[in-house]
Amino acid sequence: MPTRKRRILFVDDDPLALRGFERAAEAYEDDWEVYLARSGAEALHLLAQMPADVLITDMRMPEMDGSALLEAVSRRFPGVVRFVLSGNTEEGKMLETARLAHQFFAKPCDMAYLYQRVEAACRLRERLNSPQMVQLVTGIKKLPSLPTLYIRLMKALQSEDPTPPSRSARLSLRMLP
Amino acid sequence: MSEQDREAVGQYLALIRRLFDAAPICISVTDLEGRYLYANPALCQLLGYRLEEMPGMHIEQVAYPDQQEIQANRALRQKALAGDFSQYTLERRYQRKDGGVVYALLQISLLRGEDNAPLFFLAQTVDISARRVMEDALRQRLNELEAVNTLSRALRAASSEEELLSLFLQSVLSVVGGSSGVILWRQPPSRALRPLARCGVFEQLAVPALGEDLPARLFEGGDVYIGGALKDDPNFPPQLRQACGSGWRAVCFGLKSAAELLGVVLLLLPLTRPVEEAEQRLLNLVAEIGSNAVTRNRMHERLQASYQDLQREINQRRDVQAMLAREKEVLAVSLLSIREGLISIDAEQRITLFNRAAENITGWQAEQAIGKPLASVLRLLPSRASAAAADPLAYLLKWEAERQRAPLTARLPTLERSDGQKLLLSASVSPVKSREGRLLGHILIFEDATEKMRQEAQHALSQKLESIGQLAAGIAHEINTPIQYVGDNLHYLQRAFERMSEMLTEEERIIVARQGSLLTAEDVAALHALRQEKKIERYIEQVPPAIAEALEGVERVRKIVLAIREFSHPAAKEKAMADINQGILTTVTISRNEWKYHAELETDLDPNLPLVWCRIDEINQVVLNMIVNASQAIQEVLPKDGGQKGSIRIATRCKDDRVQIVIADSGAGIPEDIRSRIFDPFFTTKGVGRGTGQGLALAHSIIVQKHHGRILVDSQVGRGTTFTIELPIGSQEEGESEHANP
Repeated sequence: MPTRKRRILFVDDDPLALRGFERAAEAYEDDWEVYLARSGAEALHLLAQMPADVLITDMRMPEMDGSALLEAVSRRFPGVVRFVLSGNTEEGKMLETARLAHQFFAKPCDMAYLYQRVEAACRLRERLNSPQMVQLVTGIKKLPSLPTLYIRLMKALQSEDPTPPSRSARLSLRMLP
Repeated sequence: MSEQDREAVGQYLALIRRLFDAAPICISVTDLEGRYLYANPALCQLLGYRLEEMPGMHIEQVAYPDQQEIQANRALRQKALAGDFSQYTLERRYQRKDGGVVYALLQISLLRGEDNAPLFFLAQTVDISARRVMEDALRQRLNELEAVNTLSRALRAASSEEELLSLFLQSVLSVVGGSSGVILWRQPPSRALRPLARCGVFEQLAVPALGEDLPARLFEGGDVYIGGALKDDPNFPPQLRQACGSGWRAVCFGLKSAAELLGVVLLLLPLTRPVEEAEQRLLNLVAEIGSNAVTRNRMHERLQASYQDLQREINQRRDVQAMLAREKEVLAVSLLSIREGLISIDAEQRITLFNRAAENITGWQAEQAIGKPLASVLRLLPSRASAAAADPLAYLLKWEAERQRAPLTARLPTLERSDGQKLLLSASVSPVKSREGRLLGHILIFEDATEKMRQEAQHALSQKLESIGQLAAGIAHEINTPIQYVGDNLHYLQRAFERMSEMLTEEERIIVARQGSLLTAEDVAALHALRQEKKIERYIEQVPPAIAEALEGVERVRKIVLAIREFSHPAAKEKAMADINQGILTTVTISRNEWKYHAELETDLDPNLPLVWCRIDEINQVVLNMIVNASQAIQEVLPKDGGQKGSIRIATRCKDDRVQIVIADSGAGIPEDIRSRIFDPFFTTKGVGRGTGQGLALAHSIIVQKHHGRILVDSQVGRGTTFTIELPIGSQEEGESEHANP
């Protein structure tokens, strides 16, 4: 049971979108306090006055775009969980945001799903209670990718028949420390 | 000697004297010095002296003044006196008292005394003048013949005029017995005479050019000039006279060809040698031979030259013929094997040539086709008729003219093959004319354009798809955002309805519990609390805008989907009357995501704009390109993080029979030096991945070529660019429309 409601800050240049978020988020008003910002500048202004837990921002916006905002937030307010909710599906843009955001969601996105992801992220953060740890984890911009061997091993273990399918897989397994 | 003896001798001498006096032959006695002791009357008569004049005269007084001859005579006498011989014979010449020449054969005896001492010479003279004259004449003839022969032979060996003249000079000198000579030759254009061939002293001598008047002076008296002492000969320049020295005379004759004097032969002969008449005759002859030789040589040269010309011409003709034959071969092979179909027809439109490609395209065999009228082989179907054109040639000529007028809209002729299959032909017709301009027939070159047309159509379509593809991400964004809040609002409405529904159920329950009686204060409080709990007031306040906003989102999606459909309208194959303003609005809608973050887009569309005869999808494509370009040009000048926006302004207006679309931006502008290149295909200044260099080239092709319009560019670097598109409303294309829409 959280001691206070989570503060969620939605950023989008489209006021209709913001009002949509607000209404949809009303379903979770017991847990959430929703704040709205029409631009990156407004979002930074709000964050400076009152720290938020989660930032959910659009990418394509006039003046300051999503990337610039995420960059600024990660620098100035590293404790804020950064989510992207964008109508843009261009691959290049997605890769760009992957570096700056913790999670990426494509519009249209169901608010229930968003709520679930936000809760999961926040619970994880609450578990790592120490402020140093929070700072460290939220400050991570990229994680090293998992070794191929790990992925193959997990696959093998999760398969219905965990007998090594081939000689090469066997060899790989033998190489485990 | 006794007295008697003396008397006897005296008588004897007297007798001898009488005998000598009476003898018909010439007898003379001279002393050892050569003085006449006695000359008999016959000799005196021969030499023209009186009898008493001769004794005491010296023999050399009557000798012909030829020193050589005189010396020879003297030498013989000395030898006889020396005892080498006592008798000798010689031929010599006398000069008569009257100056005439007598040729004589002398038999001379040296008489010696008993003590062998020489006493006197006794000479017997025979007049051989007549014989000598004949002999001389004969010898002269022989000489002449020989000279002529030598000359002719020598001259024939000459290969050039110069060599000929050199040989001639040498031969002449050997004939006349001289050693020095020069030929003074006229070498046009100069009229002066310059030395050409030289012999003897002239080889070392600098001979000056002689005036052209020289021959006239020399040959006043005859064809051969025989001068006196050259030293004093006024006919020749002093320089030449001094250089040659004394003791010479000049002998000259001319060389002519066809009565024209070509040059003068100048020979040096010793003054001591008289030039006799016979020699003059010989010189005349030689001059004639020389002239003939030169003439012949010139003719020969001319003949040779013209022969060579002829030979050259023959060779050239042979080469040309060979080349023509080769070319004809090459041409025939090329015509047969070119990819395009080729048919040649004569003036009566009968087929005379039918190549392999023509066989493939028409389905006819060359053997069947050749000789047939064109109309029976080349069955062209006019677009409106089902029957083939009666005169395919006229049809093609008309089509060609039309294609020249409107290259991109003229419809290709349809060919019906021999198997009934139909093809689109791209053809060209050229008349074949004779040199005088008479029409001999036509050459038709054509190809099967069906596949090409199909590809072109596909290409156009793919270009359109490409431009939509470029927008796809933006369009997705444009759709995704409204869908997001449509969904959000619907979720809200769903929840609102649930709460309302619960509220109503609860109200129902309370009201029913009272069974028609009035509600109690508790009931009202409970209902009020329920309303509070369900936040009904807020729903009543929020539901209407939620519905309105959801509907607005739906409207936005609907609009953009409609715009995409309109924009990419594939049915517009032919031109039609279209609303340019509507097209612009559509294009602005679908491109919204391209500009809305960088620019305010303002439209100023003339509400009275007439419909325009055009392919609206193509015009939309052009406007789209311009908007995208404008947006990119604005991004170039906007600061990366600044909160500024540029502006794009699109206006339409009608101007006379034209419609103008003006698209102005506040972007970077186009630098002067590349302004002329912006419509070139593949010309781009944008970074890799941003521009293909096709946009404006395509715009140019659509507006200028397909719609006969214009695109004007006005740009200021740093201030912005204005594109003005002008389209004819359509009146001038009535003809085409008639054709395009049968």
